Amino acid sequence: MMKILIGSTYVPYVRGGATFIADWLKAKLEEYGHQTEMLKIPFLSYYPTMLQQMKAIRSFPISENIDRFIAIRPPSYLVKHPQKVIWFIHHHRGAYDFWGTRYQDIPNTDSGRNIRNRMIEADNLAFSEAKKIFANSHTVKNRLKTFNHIDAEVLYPPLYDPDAFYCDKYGDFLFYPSRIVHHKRQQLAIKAMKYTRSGVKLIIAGKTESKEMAFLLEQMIEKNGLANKVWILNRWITEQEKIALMAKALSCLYIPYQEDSYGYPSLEAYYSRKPVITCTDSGGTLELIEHEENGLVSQPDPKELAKCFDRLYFSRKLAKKLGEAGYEKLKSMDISWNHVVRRLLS
Amino acid sequence: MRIAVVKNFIPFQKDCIDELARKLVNKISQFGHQTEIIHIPFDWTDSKALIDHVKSIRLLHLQCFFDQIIALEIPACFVDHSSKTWWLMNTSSFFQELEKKNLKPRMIDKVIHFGARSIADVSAIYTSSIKDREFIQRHWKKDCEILSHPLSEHKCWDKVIEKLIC
Repeated sequence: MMKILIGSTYVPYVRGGATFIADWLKAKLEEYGHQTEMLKIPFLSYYPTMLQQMKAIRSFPISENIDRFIAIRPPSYLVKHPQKVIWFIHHHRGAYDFWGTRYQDIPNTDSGRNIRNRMIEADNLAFSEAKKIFANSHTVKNRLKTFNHIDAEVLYPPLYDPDAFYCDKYGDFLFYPSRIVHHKRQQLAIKAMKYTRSGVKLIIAGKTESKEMAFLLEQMIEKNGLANKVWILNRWITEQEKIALMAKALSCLYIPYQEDSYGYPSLEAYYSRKPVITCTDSGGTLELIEHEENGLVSQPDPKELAKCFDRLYFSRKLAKKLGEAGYEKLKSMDISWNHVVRRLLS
Repeated sequence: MRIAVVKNFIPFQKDCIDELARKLVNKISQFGHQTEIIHIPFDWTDSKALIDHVKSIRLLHLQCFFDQIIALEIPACFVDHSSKTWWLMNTSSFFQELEKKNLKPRMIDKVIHFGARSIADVSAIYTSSIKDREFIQRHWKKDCEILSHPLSEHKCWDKVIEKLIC
């Protein structure tokens, strides 16, 4: 039995993949008989404050009397510990792969560049101290190689309880469960619904990041006359609700922009034997979803997406075939807690 | 309101303040607030790093996440926030412990000094014993009320919550 401390940053009152992976890892390590504790550090990803917060994290004194420190969300890996292992889920992307794009969140000024350089230096130092670095996808592994010259091992995050998911039927709606934020592109999904020619419907479930976002989406639905085709459940639905909706869905829709990994909704869909529709620029989802093999990969264009929606609506047989192929693919990839626990503690 | 209860964190060591924090969070929630415990790592054994650590606690950024902070211990209570209440436990024994760890008096004075800086922006200070109250009066020149923590699930929690929430 090992004493394991899991460290991760978080935004208070916001749930998502990064909080799930830490919480589920803790629960699973305990199931495997280890003593675990969690250090959750509130972290504001606003560039003028980031270096100061990073300095605070770097100064955290963690007793060496712990067998393993597993760091997850950045920059929790700045904590010094001789038994540090990083399960790296993403960079602060505004300073890395989004630098020079419209998603860059640090100004390209002398001061901004200095902040960016110091962040990268701090990351590199923390990476050099780690006993081992795992990445949650090939996408993230490649970014680590490109920007930090680090070789990481891919360790895919499993669902907490995949067996809870099941298939009831291939219904008439697409299901998009995710935080409702700009880069998950729920707006694109709603726009696409305008161009559908079938009776396909869309259910979006997740908490909006702001009241403005909720208003914007509601307005889009109203303006485009989609009130009878698109529904937004603007809250954190329960696991039971999510499982039941996925079980009845025609397909899962997951179209983020340049996602870090395949995303939990993709796994949830495949365990429910449902296909996944994603986009050519969705990043990590493409490690799992193959066009016409286990889902449909569309250009990030509303009309193109609408064609995919209609295609599955008119052929439930195809939806079933793709969904079952997705499940088979998962089985072949050994995405399991057994594997995760073994690698993180090896 | 969104309220954080702030305390020290030593992995795999539980004490009565953990229990107090848990109860406090439950009680505050019953009053309709969103609340959670924020753990600030602390390690008695690394006295050399203590000052750096104490200094850096103020660099954490909790202001935009929480409307109020209720801090239970030194040095976690040094965290920066514009609406901060201290309900400090074991204050004098914290410094006694530093002495036992053979921390140089100069270093202990520095920690007290950080306390003096931090106390300047505290909205209200409560403590749980006469001894701690005297310590705070002597070193930080602040008066504070003694607010004993209810031992059981008792209705006097209501009074405690009323006092702690600004």
